[in-house]
Amino acid sequence: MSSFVHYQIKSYIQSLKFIPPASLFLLWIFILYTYDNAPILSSYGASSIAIYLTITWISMTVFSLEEEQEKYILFFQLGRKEKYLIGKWLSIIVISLPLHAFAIFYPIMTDSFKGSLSLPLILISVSSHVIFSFFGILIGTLFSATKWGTKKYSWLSAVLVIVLSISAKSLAELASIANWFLWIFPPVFTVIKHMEEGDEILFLESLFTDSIFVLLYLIISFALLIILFKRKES
Amino acid sequence: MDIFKARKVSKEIAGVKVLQDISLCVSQGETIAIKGTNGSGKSSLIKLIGGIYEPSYGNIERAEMNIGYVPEHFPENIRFSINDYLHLIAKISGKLEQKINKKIESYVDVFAIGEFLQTPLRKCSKGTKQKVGIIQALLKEPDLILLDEPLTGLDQTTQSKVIKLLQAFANNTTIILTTHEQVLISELAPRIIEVDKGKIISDSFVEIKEKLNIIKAKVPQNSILQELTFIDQKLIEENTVEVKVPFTESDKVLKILLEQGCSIIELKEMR
Repeated sequence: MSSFVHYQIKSYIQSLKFIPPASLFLLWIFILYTYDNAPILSSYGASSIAIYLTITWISMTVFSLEEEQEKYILFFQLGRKEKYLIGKWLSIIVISLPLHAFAIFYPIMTDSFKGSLSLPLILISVSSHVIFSFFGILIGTLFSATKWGTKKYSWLSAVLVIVLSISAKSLAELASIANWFLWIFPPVFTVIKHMEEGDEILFLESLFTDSIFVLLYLIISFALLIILFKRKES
Repeated sequence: MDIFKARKVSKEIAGVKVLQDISLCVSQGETIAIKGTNGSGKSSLIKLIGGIYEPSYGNIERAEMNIGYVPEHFPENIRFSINDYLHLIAKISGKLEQKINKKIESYVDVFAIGEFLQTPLRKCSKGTKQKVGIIQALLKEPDLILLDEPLTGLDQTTQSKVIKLLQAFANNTTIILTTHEQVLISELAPRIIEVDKGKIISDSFVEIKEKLNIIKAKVPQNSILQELTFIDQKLIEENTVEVKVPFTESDKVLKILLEQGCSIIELKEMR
């Protein structure tokens, strides 16, 4: 699997497709920390949203790296189609590592926060970046490696899902009926709500239950993606 | 042992039936040529056998196999050099570094692509890409080789090299190929499956006839013919010899004749 990840990363770098999403992400972080004394958790919350968009973009470009024939050759070299999908996910994770590092360490190095960082704050911030990058992989895979991805408007659909998932709370407040379908979108607010009330972490029961919910959401979604991918590639 | 069995299999893609009522059994070690016109379903059948396609209707059984696949058109946009590509692809299939180097070297020699090793694949000619396509499949040391129009874009010399290589593999590997080329069918595949409009219209066995070449050469002295006792030779006039050699041995015999100072007058296929 590591050889396939190596192949993917090398191919991705040579394609230069990483430049637009990575540049936009860096710009976002620079702008976010233009002024000093930024609140820790909400700043990391904003950079997590940036990661969400960027990783969706990166995922869609990583899945579009190969044309059909190259993909078939890789299926046979790997032996199983699932290995191809999992290898792609691992490649996206490796590609996203420098972005995570930049999002976490840039404000620390430039001393942009108003308070001091504690271990729990760092843990919450790192977790939120990781969770949002998984959300990004989810959306990116759904619209580029399943039958949904073959539709003409896959990029538009991906953006729509991201916007709906980010604005789910407001939509639900506007019309409670929206709750009936909004649960299907990545639970952005379930994560972000713990980062918008100052820099004190309240270890409430809700943090634990929300973590379990997000974890289950991710496990079920990734399992469904494997099924959808296999259905497309059959 | 059967490695693939299909019973009344049909495959539908975007509402179009590309394969219909396919019933087929492939045994280990067989060499099969699938022939048919363009769009008849040859490539779809090979994809079904390899597992790229799963049936929409009907049942199939596939043995767990190590499969090498040569696509009809090698991908256009691979950015790696030939050398990088072959090393990366061999590592993906789980081959050890030391073994990879030797194998790649030998195939690069056979296909004479040494001078292009550092050239990005996307800038290579169609023929070179096709050679790389064949090498990547063979590097895997597969139990089953699937070749979709393997001779497309190759010159005659390379075509005979590919045939020779496949003949060598045919001893202990199952080979399934789609082709329009009669030469592949007559020299390699004793079993021929013909498809039309997604259906198998015939499945037959033929006897493989060894193709012969006739080489006419001027020899400096008749005594050197003793060096060539292993081939069918006839002195047709003073210092002129005609030899009949199997197609696959032609290169070797030509080399010997030239080393002995003979000049080649004619080389033709025996009909």
